Amino acid sequence: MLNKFSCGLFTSDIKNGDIEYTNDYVCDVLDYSKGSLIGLKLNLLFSKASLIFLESYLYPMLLKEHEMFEIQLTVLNTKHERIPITANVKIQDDKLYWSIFTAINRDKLYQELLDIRDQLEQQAEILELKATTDSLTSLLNRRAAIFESEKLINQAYRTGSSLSFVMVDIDYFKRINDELGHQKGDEVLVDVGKVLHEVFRKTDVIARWGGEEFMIVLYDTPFDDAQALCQRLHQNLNSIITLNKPLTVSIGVAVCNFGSGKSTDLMSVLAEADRMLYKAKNNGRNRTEMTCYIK
Amino acid sequence: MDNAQLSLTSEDIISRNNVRVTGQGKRTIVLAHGFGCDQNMWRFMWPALEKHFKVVVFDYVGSGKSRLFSYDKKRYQALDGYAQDVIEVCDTLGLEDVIFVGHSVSSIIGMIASQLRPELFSKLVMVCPSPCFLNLGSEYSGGFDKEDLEELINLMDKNYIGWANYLAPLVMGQSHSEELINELSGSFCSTDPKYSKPFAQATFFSDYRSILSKELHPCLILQSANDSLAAVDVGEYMKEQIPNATFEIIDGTGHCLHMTEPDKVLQSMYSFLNIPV
Repeated sequence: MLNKFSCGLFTSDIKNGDIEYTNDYVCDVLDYSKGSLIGLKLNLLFSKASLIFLESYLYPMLLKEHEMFEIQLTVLNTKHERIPITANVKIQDDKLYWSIFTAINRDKLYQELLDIRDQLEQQAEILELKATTDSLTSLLNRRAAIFESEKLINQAYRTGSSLSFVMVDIDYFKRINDELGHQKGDEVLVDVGKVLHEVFRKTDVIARWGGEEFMIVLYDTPFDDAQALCQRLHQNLNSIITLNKPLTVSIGVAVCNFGSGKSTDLMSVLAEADRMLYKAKNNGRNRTEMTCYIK
Repeated sequence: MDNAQLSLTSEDIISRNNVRVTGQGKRTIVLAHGFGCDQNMWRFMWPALEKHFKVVVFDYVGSGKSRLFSYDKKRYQALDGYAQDVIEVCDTLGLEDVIFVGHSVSSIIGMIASQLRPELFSKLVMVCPSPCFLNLGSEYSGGFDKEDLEELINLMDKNYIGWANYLAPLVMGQSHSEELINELSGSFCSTDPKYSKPFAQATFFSDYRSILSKELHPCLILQSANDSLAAVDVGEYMKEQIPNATFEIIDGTGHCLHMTEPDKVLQSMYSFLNIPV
């Protein structure tokens, strides 16, 4: 009677991998003559990818849970053609009890779903990039910078580390735009972005804050280290020559030791870094002014 | 940016990798699961090992009950990132001279870790290892062609239940929220494509044959007599390449000897580690 069902039934031994019983449906689907699968190794029936799947997921799960449902696999017929199947498998006394159904249409449906997912993933990636990046300099934009900085602040509170908040403003940028045109101004902004990437580290937040202003949060960086990094930034930016002079910037820095127990928020620290930036400008530009906002 | 891993405390790493320490022995044994499942794969072996060793089990980030918000796409795209998990777990527990037991790809992960930080390890036990699953012309036969492994990735996708969770954030234009990704499906083998695909790629598309000859720790290679993933030939190749290797074929079938033949695996390990039975 089992030969009349339109589903494949077979058993195999998990210890030696031998097929011990099949109904006719299995032989029909796989193009074997009736009964000829018995004694063969189970591995012969499956594609290589399916074998990895069996070894990495199905068998461990069966040994723990004893039963698995609706597993999608690929079997091979005698001509080595691939046939997608869905299998329910049960293990009892080292015997595997398989019931299988061909799943050609279901497989096509899954494939369509996968293709759509891949498209969605690509679109989401592009959108995320556009939503978080400044299109001119490829630095983080203001919104992404706020999000990332707040994450760093939360981490710093937990670990008691220091963060340095740096505001950078290009000196006399208006002159560059007025005398050389906006295109040249844009080129300078791009070059500054590149130098920021050279000087600061992967773990820092580096953003174009707006116009000719940049904001950087230096990860795990106390006062002296921040000072050294800003000094390097001044030097490296000097390599950009515009209006026949090395480019200069003014920098304001607020350093926060989050291990002190005192609390603050991003906007208050940035206001302090901004205050330092204006101090640097008022003190003659091309310099860094720093403060320990939280000691 | 990769800040997720930089500021982790010891407690963070213990919970990130779902580290579990049991047993009373003076020597420490670290059991590392392979691709697909989690630390529960060792459940048939750890009760016996606890009598002789301090036993450490853990889940790689992206597997089992690891903390998924620590998942870093870049870090886990190659086996070196998983080796970093091993090193950080050892450092966090203050371990030295551990006996590292890796199943399948974890044997290679352990080898990478042991070459980066030799002092952490004393011996390596490799259960069904393969340094490269790819067939590379006439010089090396790992058992699989690139197309097979691409089909595997596709198959994993097709067996993943949880599409709604996976697709919703893409459609909504937001990244995975913490609540959503905090736990895998709950089963101990997960095919969640976000984590298992990079692990599959790191495992099956890599070629770590070149590190074999640099391994200086004594190694025990245990290969299954009938394994469709890591053939006996692959074990023999490893034995030839590793300077101080013992090679044994376990009379068994399949790639999960530690689940199907735990007693035989234990016996071989005890003899390699000079433990009287």
